[in-house]
Amino acid sequence: MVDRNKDLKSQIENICKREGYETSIQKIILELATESLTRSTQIPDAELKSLLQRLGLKLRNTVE
Amino acid sequence: MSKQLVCRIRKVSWESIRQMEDIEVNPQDGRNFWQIRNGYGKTTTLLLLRHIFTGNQPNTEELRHFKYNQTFGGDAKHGKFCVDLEIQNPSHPEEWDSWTVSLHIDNSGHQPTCYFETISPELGGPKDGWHLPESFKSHFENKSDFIELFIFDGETAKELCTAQGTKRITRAIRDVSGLGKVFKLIESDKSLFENIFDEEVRNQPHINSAGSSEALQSLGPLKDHIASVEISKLALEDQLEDMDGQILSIVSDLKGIDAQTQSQGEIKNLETKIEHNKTNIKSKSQDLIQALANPSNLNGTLWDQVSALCNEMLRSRIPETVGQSFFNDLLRDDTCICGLSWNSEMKAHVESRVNDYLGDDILSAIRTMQNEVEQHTKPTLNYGDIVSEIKEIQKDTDEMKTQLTRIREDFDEDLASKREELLGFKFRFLKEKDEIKEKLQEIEETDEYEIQRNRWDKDAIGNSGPLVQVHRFTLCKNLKSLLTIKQYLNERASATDVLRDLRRGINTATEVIEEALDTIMEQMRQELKTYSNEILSKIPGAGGPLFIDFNQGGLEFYNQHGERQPGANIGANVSAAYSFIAALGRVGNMDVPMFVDSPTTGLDAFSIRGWSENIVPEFGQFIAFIHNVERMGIEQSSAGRKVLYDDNQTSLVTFHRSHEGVNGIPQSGKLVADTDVEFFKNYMPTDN
Repeated sequence: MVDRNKDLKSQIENICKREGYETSIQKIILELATESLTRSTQIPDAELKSLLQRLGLKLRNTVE
Repeated sequence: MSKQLVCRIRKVSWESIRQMEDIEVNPQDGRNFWQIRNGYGKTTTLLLLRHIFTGNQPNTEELRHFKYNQTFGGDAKHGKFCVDLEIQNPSHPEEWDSWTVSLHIDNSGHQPTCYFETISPELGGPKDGWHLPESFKSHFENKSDFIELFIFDGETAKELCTAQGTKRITRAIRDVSGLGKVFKLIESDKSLFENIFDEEVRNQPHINSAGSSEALQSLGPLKDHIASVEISKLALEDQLEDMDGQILSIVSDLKGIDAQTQSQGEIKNLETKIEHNKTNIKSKSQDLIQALANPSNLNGTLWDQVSALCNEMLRSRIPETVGQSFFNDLLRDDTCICGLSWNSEMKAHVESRVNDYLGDDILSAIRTMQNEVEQHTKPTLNYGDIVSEIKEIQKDTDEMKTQLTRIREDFDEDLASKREELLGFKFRFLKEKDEIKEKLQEIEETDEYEIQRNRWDKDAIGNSGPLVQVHRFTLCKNLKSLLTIKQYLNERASATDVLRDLRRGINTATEVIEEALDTIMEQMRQELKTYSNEILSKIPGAGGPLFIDFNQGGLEFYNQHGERQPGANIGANVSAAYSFIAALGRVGNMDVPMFVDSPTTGLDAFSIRGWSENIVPEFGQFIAFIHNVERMGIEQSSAGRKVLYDDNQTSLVTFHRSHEGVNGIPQSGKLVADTDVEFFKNYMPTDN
């Protein structure tokens, strides 16, 4: 039986590798997706926003 | 690895609910059969259980339906339906937590009202509202469609095997994935990520550049337009499914009529063959007459003897090649054939020999006979064979005439015109389906070349990028183009670094998570198909093995040659639905109660065996409402009897009025849940 959470993690890692995202970017995306599964309630918006902004900033720095 | 959700029903209780005064049942793990006659609360219980599992409150109409309506001591003003659950703690599988959910119904006012109450040590006691744990909520909360798969009746089974079942299947796969929260992050325009962005835009105090202001103004109408296109897309998909359902139904009807129409073809075929046989008999009869006139067809060795005699005569030059007239003509000439002039002696000699030769008439007849014999040295036709052939053809004709009469008696000519009519509908639906597909393609196409070739972006994306013009992009229905415009507007609207970073983060995270989820959903779909067929293969059915696939028509049947088998019977539908639901439990890694109304409807004795041995054990807790006729059907199969009565592993309950005997009368007194096995076995009310 496949653990869907693990599967999701592994899929995200594969896609990030394929797209050439650095580890820190991959970590944030994984946190966004898998953190929501381990908590009894949805991640608070403020926390999500902070993660998304960090992701955006890292992407900007990578591109620039 | 622990399961995502393991749950058992430990108690169900009814207080003044429709026909039930005050009653409770304690289901066990494994098999539970609740025998109940029609009208005692089966449907009511199923509906109530679905509300308890989803946390959705019943509407006013349903509440009125649940009101106590008997005269055996119940309270018509207040009702309560209560379910005790045990739910395994996913983090500590050895621990089981108790949860009790009650639905309280108040019928005392003008309008009935209700509320949920949850009791659990986890909550510290009773609490108003529906508060089941996260592992349960993530699977069932507000998922009316999904719970119908586990609190299940024949209608759901039927629907799963139609076009309407397609969406239910897709949603079910998503529901059992346990990834609902991740879907919420990114799905459609109401995703959590997009909400966060919108909120941040509202919080930015100084967005004052003309470009960003214009972009922000356009974003609202664009989002509304995208939402309306998505709604149109769903409507078109629904239409497409309906169309598929209609076409399937027509194909099924046509198949039924085809047997009749085949008769029409058979009639024509037989008529042609009979006509052909008549011509054949006529021709053979002529041959027979000719054969009868042919001397070579004389019986036995006689013709051989004639033939031998004739040959002997020819060899001996009998008769002579000349006849009497030859010599008479010669005598009348001046000279003999030797050239000498006739003298009296010569003439006397010839005249004395003339009679040794045959007369010309006889000679001619003999020559003709000799020729006949020469030409028919062996018989060319045996009239005996011809007679046999004629008799065979006649027999064949008679058989065909009998067959023709029988088919004509059964054949309904109205069906032939009905078939033509259905073919017309089918053609029309197929045409309409193509039109819908074209519309959907315009919305869904992601290939840039195709979009540009068909001008599906409606020129809302110029050479230098998208145009911020509402009147242009609202003409465009292509979602990819619209999302490109949205992304562009979002970037322009992101006048600050904070917004730009947020947008970049949202876009990237959405793309990655969306692709990951798509892959997982496809994997689950394949697993589900494999498991479903594995389970289905254990339920024997008539007509050879069938396989199921999930396509436009819900659970669809295919034979071993991969040919679609429309028009499956109710037994096949029920078997497929069971297989699908059992597989869903496996794929979803969950073990929850299966509650079924009339579990063996449509199953024959063979299928009941397959159901008993392979479907029931798939569920950790199987609870079935059956009536006594169905009980007798199950008892007829040895495997069914085993499921009901062997090894005391089955909990058997009969719901009946307290005064009722096994014959079902009188129907008075409070409703009771009787666990007496003999009563269960012998209960025979006559109204089912």
